[in-house]
Amino acid sequence: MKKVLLIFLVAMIFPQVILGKNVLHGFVKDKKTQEPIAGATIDALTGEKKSIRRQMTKVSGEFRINRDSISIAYIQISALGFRDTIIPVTNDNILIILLDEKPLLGEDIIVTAQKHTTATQDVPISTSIVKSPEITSRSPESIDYALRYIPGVSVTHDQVNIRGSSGYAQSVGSRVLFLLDGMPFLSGDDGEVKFDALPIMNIERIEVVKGSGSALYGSSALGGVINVITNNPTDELHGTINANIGMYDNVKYPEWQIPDSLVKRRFASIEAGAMGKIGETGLLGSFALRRNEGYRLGDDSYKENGFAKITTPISVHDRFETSVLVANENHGGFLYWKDLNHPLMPSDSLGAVDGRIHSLKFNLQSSLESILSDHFILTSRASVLYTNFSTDSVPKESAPHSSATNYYLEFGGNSDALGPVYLTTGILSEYQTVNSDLYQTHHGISLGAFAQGEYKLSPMILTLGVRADGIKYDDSNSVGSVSPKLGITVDAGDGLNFRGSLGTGFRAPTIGEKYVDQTFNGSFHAVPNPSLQPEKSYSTEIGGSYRTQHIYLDGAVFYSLFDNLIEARFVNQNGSEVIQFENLTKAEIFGHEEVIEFYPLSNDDLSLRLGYTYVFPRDRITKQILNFRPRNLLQARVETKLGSFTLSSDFRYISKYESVDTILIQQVHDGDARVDAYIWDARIAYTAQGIFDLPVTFSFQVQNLLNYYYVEIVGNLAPIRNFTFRVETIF
Amino acid sequence: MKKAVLFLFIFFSLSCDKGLSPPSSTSISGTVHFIGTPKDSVKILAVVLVEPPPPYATSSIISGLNTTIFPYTLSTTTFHDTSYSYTVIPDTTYHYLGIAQNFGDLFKDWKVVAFIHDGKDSAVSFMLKPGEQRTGVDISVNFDSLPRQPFIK
Repeated sequence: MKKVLLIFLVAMIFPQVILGKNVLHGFVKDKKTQEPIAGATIDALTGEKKSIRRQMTKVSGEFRINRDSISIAYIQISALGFRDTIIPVTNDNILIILLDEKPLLGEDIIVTAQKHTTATQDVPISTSIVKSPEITSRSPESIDYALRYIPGVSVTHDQVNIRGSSGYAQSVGSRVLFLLDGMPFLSGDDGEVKFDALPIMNIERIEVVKGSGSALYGSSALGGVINVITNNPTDELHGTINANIGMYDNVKYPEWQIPDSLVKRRFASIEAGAMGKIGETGLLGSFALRRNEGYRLGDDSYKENGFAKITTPISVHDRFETSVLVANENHGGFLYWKDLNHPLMPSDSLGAVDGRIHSLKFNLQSSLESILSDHFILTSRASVLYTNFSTDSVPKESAPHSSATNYYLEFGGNSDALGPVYLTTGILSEYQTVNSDLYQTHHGISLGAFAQGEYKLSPMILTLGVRADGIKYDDSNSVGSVSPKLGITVDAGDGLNFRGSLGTGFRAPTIGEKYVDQTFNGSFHAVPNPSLQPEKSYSTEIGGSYRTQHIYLDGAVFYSLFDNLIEARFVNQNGSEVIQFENLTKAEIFGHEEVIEFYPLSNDDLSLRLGYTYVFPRDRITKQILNFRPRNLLQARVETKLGSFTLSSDFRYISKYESVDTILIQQVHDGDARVDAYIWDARIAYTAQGIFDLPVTFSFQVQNLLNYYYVEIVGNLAPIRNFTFRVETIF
Repeated sequence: MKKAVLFLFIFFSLSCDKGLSPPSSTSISGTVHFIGTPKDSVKILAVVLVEPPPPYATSSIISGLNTTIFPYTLSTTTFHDTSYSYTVIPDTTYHYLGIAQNFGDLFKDWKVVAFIHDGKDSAVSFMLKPGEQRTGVDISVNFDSLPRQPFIK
């Protein structure tokens, strides 16, 4: 037994000892951009060009094929959007393979949907991907701003809403699982996303999976999953620096105006970063400083964040990656407006002018990808996320504070050992500790295990998966959840694909929801409810897509059921009215979504994208429309390149919430004021060869061009028209 | 193609109103008259309408004033007759209407340069019905002769 264990340990730590060192090693890159191509299929061919071994490239574009006991004469490289290429195998130590583009619109790869690199058309559920150039072109202050432009996604304050799944509930955790490089990025106390901490400069792409995703991801994936994927260091050393400066316009109603001596309405930021490789070790780092004086009194902010990442091959078969993130924020205490006559003034009782909120976030995460055999890759992941906030409101003794730490550990495996069945499995654990005067001192632990098989039965791919989770807080009884999923994709040829899926989701109540004990506004007392049960969801969708070199069409019809949705409500406790979180709502959401992308020219010099999402969100018991779910969401983008100039414009239409939180309305003057939202943005960018032959891009952007006044949540006027000037150079 | 983009732009532009706006207001309005020259620098000069009765604490004047309605700001460089219109919350009693001058620290250095009184140095209270627009509430500022200050030391 000891001998077996020893062999197992050696295989885990030094797999090359077992596998030998006769490995065909290389990288696949885009010939035009030199960017790595992930998900490319590498077929090892005999002299008769018969496939004898197959592998897919990783995110870094890297592949390693064991050639012990076989003779490889050629390799064939196939990647979506690129021409198939066959090259003879040489004795070079490392092959660098450059592929020519042959794009079809909408073809892309996604790692989040199936927990491994997959072509988007092979995923049985709707997905969206937004990449770095589009994200940074909008000069966002934080990532939630970039999410607002993704079809089917809206953001209500800091809560992400995918196809109406989340709505907005005060102090309730996210109903969309938010990941940073595949690991959870939700705070341990209130379960919310800390958008401001994410390093905008180092984001390579954001992947959005729409629909219940707990069969792979467990708790919080009730309405979907968002995965922020950071860059991998490039071979060549280079740096980027950008500076933004801007200001908010005046409001047009004199009674809304605030003197410049109180609110300057200016904002500025500077970001700098560099990446490169020393030997085979990649290094990447960035920092950002942001100052926003705000357009409302008591709503200014100072933000600083830093990010660093190291990637290194430990051996031919093992690749290690670790990153650290630190963010600090200090902002005013604006919560709700005074009233609709003074929307830029904080409420007397709910928004302090002199109280400031300080927050700190720290995240350390590592992953080790080990090729244990030709057919099995083991990925080990671990992360620690620490969040802390405090206020300096007076009196000090009643100033709220909370700190939480979330530990995450996962071992996942991917295997094609069963021929046409691709297996994805894993076990994981999460542990949270909270120390807070809002939620007291608590801890929670969860364990999960999942398995999924994708059966390739050309032209179909069938997916079947299941995950089991157990969660326990303090000494209370544990709760469990089993989340199955079923999916199918059909490649009908000529760019036409169909998909269908059934999925389940659940969200365990956060420590914040179970144990909140706080008096708000001096009168509303929120009390704990340790017996809260997890929320559940069941979602299904049928969709299809069609793509050519000039047009991409995607459509889906979806239906979701929700049970035990947690909401705050007034209850009578010992003769007094208090607020408590309870499992209240059984809901259903029906809807459809259409996306059109159109590139009318032979190059990419003109592009149009239009996304429309309709949802009908209803309480199954009361038949009332659910709170904070816009029924119609329309997002449009047009971009054109004219020589060194790039012009782009975004338009968003968000229909008025038909229902909002009645408790909030009771607290906020004119809390019921809301309208349809029409938001136009426009920008122009010019790239020139600047001093020392460095490319310099100057851009000017106007957000909310129409200076349209609307709210995202009760009593909060959304950002008014603002202007940003940006300079960026790469060296 | 250009026509289609232009059509979309015009369509959406025409379909947009301006969104939220101030509700039909309940207001007090009038004219502020000025005499004399300010003795201190004028950083903010504002019409203030305060809900609680005096006295007030200078150290908390901003938050104190904010407990009612934000000051309606006036010019800080020219002191010609100026009209003002002040939106108020209906059915709420306001105990003090005056002109406040900030001459230094935003949270500490405030003084009142005029207020509506009953002729016997007592502030006049106001309470308006919903939709009522009370006009002609004029205020006279005499920088050379400041009124009694409503602040406690």
